[in-house]
Amino acid sequence: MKTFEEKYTAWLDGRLGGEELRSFENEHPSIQREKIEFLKLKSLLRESIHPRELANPEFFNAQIMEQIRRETVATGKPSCGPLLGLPRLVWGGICALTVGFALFFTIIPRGDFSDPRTKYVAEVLKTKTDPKVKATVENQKDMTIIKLEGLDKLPPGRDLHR
Amino acid sequence: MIRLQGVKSCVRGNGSLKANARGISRRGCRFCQLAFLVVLFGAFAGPVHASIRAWGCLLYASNAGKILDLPPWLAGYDAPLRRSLGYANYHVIAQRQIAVETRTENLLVSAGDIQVLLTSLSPAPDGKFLVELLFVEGTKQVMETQAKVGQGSPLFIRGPDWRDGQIIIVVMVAA
Repeated sequence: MKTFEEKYTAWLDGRLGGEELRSFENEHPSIQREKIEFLKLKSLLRESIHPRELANPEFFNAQIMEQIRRETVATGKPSCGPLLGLPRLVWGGICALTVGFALFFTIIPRGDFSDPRTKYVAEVLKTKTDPKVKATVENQKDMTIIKLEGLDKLPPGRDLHR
Repeated sequence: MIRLQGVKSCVRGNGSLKANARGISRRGCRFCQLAFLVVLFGAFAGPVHASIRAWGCLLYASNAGKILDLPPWLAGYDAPLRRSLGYANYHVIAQRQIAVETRTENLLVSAGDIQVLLTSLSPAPDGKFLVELLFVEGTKQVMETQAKVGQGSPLFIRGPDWRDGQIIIVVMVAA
């Protein structure tokens, strides 16, 4: 089954014949005028453009055929086949996981940051007080408090916000 | 013959000159790379080891109301403070953060006659910090203490009573 373009080209070149020619001309009655215009154009081109004889047509054809062959081979190669191969995917996954773990353990500091009290360390080593004052240390899990007894009460009117 | 030798030596000399120039440029490139690495590491390491930051705070704790005005450094300490000190209301009177670079006495925080001085702050081999504090009231040295604290671990001191509550001194090594 020929397409319209194939039939039209063959008709213009005069290569359509027999039943095929008759049915094509019956189906497209308006193309006779186009044929006249095409023939005018053809004769005009023949008059103005002189065909040039190639000095070495075999070499030219061989070059073109070689280029076509190379392009056919290049396009025919499966480009993404090896890339998506199972071994490569597996190795890629292993490498990505290794890099991810390495970055995680080297860059991201570990520890529970949700509660700062989890890593609480405060140890009172030595305390020296005024003779009137007594210091006692309360060590709790998340708080160390030095309790000072015997301190004078501050006057209520004293402004501490200065 | 002599001329030929001369030309050869000239060519050799020229070659060695080129090689020298290449070597110098390669050495220069290596120096640039080394300098870049030093600058890069310095940029990261500098801020960490330049100084140690200490933070001090004076809190007024009372049972007048239940307003909890704790600084961000004490986030998460609301319940332990209420449980351990027995006060429901906490209010910041003064707070200050200093960078300790020298071993001289540093005023950490003060309010009125109350002064908390940081007499010494140095890193311990186990990653903790050795802190020496002096609590002064007016001209009287009330207490001098030495403690080993971790970074971000506040040390609480129950200070003098004031009005209906008490002054709480908090000292912490920030970094």
